Parts: sequence; C-alpha cells; structure tokens
Amino acid sequence: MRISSLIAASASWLATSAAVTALAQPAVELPPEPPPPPPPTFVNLTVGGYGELHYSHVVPAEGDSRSSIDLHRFVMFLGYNFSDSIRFQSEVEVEHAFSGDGNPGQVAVEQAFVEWDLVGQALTLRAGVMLVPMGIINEIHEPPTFHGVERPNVERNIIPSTWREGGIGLVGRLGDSFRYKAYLVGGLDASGFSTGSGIRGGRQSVAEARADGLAFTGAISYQPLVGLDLGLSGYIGDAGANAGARFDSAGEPLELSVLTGGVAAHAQYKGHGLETKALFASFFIADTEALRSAKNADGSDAGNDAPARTVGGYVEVAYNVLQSVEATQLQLLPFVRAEYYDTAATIKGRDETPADRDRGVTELIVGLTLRPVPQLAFKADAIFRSFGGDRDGETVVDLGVGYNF
Amino acid sequence: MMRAVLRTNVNRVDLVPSLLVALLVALALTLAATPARAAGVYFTRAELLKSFFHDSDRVSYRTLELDAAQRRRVAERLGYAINPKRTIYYGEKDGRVTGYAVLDDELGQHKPISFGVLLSADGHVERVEVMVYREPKGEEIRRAQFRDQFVGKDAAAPVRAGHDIVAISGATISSRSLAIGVKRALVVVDELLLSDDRISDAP
Repeated sequence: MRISSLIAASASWLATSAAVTALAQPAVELPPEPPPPPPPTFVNLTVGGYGELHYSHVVPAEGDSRSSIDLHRFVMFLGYNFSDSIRFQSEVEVEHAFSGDGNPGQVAVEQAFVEWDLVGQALTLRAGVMLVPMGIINEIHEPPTFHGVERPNVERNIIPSTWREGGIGLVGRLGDSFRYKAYLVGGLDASGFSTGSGIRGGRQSVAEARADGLAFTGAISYQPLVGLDLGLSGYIGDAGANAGARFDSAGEPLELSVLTGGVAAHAQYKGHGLETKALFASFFIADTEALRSAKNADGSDAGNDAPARTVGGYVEVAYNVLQSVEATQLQLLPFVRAEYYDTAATIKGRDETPADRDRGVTELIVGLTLRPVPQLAFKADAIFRSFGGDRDGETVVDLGVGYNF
Repeated sequence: MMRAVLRTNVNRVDLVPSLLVALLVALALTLAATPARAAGVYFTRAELLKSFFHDSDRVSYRTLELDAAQRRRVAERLGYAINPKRTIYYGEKDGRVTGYAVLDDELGQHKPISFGVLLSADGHVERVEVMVYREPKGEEIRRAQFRDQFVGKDAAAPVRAGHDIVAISGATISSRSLAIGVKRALVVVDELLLSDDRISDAP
C-alpha cells in the first residue's frame, strides 16, 4: 500500500545520507572539551539605564530669550530571566528630576512586560505595559541612538512618543531579516485630543486607564541589507468609548465612537560612518464634529477641539568625520535634519483658523554629536523653527549629554 | 496517491487517515535521523573543523603560550589582556599547513557566543561561523551577509562593529561581540604563528 512505499523511500534516503557522512573526511584531532566559561554573576538579573541632561536656549520671534537646564530623563531598566524562554523586562523613568506637587517632574513606568518564547524566536507572547511599535523613537530612544538634544518633534507630536499601553501580543523573528509585532491594547481617551497636540493628550499611560475602547497595533520590520532597517506600522482603536459619558445638545446620550487610526513608515541605515533616517507618520480621528459639540448631562459644554488628521515626517543625514581614523573609537558626527509636522492638518466641522495654520511647523536642525564610546553622546544643535500661519519663527540652541548602559 | 486525490469519485474520508499516518511516519523518521540538539547549537567542534578543513587530510591542534613580550603586544593591539594559553587548530595536506582555525567564546549580552574562525595560512579570514548562540536576542549575526564582512580581514584591519564591520540593526551587542572575537583570533594567530619572533610549542 502507499504507506509501505513511503517507509521504503524514507529508509533508502536515510541509508544514502549515512553513507555520505561516512565518506573520507579529514581525521580530526581534538583536545579535551574545555570547561564551560563561568556564568557572569547575577546572570538572570539585568540592570541598565539611560539618561539625558539638556541645556536649551530659546530665541523667540519677539521678547526675551530664555534658557533652561533640565535633567530631562533618568531611566532605570530592570529585567529578569525566569528561564531560557521566559523573561521580564521593565523601564522606570523620572522626568525633569523632581516630581511631586508643584514640581515639573514625574515618575512613570514606561515598560513592564513578560515574554514567553512559544516557538523559539519565531513566536513569543508578550503581556504587560508595552511601547506602541510605531516609528523609530518610541521603541528605541536611548540618547546615543539619535541625533539632536531633544527627540525629533515629529515622533513626539504625531506618533506620539513616548506612547505605552497595557495589553497582550505576539512578537517574533522570521528568518534573519523579518520581524513582526502585533498587540491588542487599551485604547486612547478621545477627550484628551486637541489641535495643539493631536492625539498626544489622549494617552492614558496605563494609569487606571479606561479600557472600554481597545486598539490593535502592529509593526513589521524588514532588513534586506545589514545595517538597513525598513519599518511599517499601524494603529486602529476606539477612543470614544474611553471618553466618558457625553450627551448631545438635546440631552440624549451620545454613543461616541471616535475611531482613531494611524500609520508610520520609516527607513534607517547605519554603516560605514553614515547614519541616515527617514520617517512618515499620519493619524486620522473620526467623529471630531460630534466630539467638539458634545455636552454634559446638564447641558454644559463637554466638547474638545480635535483635528481630523495629523501628519508629519523627517529626513536626517549624519556622517562620522572620524570614520577613516582607525586607531580610535571616538565618533564625531555632524548632522542635518529637516522636519515637518502638523497637529491640525485637517479640520472637519468648522472653518480653519489662523491658529490652526500655526500648527504646521517646519524645522531645520543642524548639529554635532560626539560619541567617545558608543554608549555616551555629547550633543549640540541649532533648530530653526517656522510656523505655517502668521506666527513668527524662533531659533533654539541646545546642548546635551546622554548615556545608556 | 495523486490520482486518488484528483479523482472525484474516491471516498476522501479514506485518504485522511492514510495521509496522517504517512505524515507521522515521515516526521518520526526525520526526527530519528536528526541528531537531538539544544536550540541554538549549530556546529559541534568536530563538525565545524571538518567543514573548515574539508579539503585537508587531517586536522590537528597545538596549545601554545604567549611569552611576556607577546602578551604585552597582544594587550596593546586588543586593548585588553587575554589568557596566554591558546589552542590553535590547523589542517594538513601533503605535509603542508592548509590553514588555521580558532574556536572561542565571546560574551554577548549575558551569555557567551561560541564561534569559529577559519584563517588562511597567511592569516586572512576565510570563514566565520557561529557554533552556539545562547541568548533570546541578537541571533541575526548568523546571517551570511553579516559574517561575510569578515572574509579577507587580516590582523592589521580594525575589525570593529560600527566601523569597518556594519552592525545589524537591532543586534548591536551581538554584532560587537562577534567582531571582538574575530579580531582576537586574528591577532593571536598573527602573534603566535605569523610574526617574526615565534616561541616553541608548549610540551
């Protein structure tokens, strides 16, 4: 019958491969197996961190210039390997050095998730507080990895970094050049959307976050060449369900389903002294007219002015002028970046105002990054910022130092 | 079997148990034929050396020790001190050395990466292989496009990730570790076997 012929075929295949391995190959003389290297102390526990100190001098269009010094971030990573296939990873951040009543700082958990390798590296379960996998900076933001003292404003205002959600998902690597992530997470809160900051104000940061509205987010990353990374990511979620009870002008309950979605695409290359990035991101917000005209139960105004669309993008080139100096690992990279972002790109339900036009921001950034070792960067930059409407531009000069380990 | 699948009047239900049994048998035979190994083990020492020196008659080794002058020079060239006892494999064909190989470990993020470097008789890298990769991240360094960057390097080349070796995006630590390991192999072989003053073999 067919099964017996299959067995016979397999057996003869085996016999052939055995004969091949027994063919004359070099006779190999081996010393005794060396003892395994001792494991590093606390091999299951990882401690790491990053931080950045900024000096900023803003020269506005009119009025006095102002300077500030800020320990923008002090971050600790803590991780633990429960086993070879189960891990915990976390990131805690102190922003602006001093938190508490009346102080500008805050302490926040940026990541805290467990990972479980279900099928080797190809399929891993992740659950907890995770960074939304959109853009470049949201997931990879250690100071020596980007140029300029502050993170690119496009990623801060459009994506909006640092954006973390609580949820569950799958990540994995297929082959050597393809990675994916897919998460089901809590949604945004539409009552925080605004033309000034897009969806940024809608982040709940997993702090007793309302999860009546959920979201899907995912990303794929493709590396056709060593050093080249191409990424595409998306987000879709219901932000209206988390916004709290709203009513229309007739006093009837409003079922707000503010569908919010976005896409980001990026390309980055790092090699042979060249570091270059390009990114595009855009979000749409549905039902902004209903959101704007929503009322409380007593008829008082409960609306917020959200854009129907936000958009942004940047292109950056940097080059290590010490690339041909073999004797040192010191790197000095002049860079230039052109950014555009608009948190009020499209308005629906009302006319566009001059304030809306001011939201379109163009920035030209030139600067220098000095890395004595790969994990430390001294930075300087000058930002020439202009606004879309009649608002006058401004110039900013920054100095900073950042590290990670 | 194909004709049975294509013919429309065959009772498909009979086919399913046959296919399932055939699949299980094939799987069992394949598993039996494949040597059981832990995840991340790609070559044993014997397998890698046989592959490296497939053209040679035999592969032997010498355990050599760096003298004080060599230890100092190696520390200067690498930027760190190393264990002076080194094992170097070599292939022989018709009484001539065909090349050298170094099998070594270099620490990745938490665990060592075991690798092998094949060098020509005049000290140029011919091949780099990852023997064992023990960590959940960074295994992309096994990619041929990454390892091929080392081919042709000699002991004078910087062999530094982020410099003449392009690191893999998202795997910078393991990229750096493999480059450090290959550089060490090059410098050790150069100091012990190729440069002008050599020492005699350890007894």
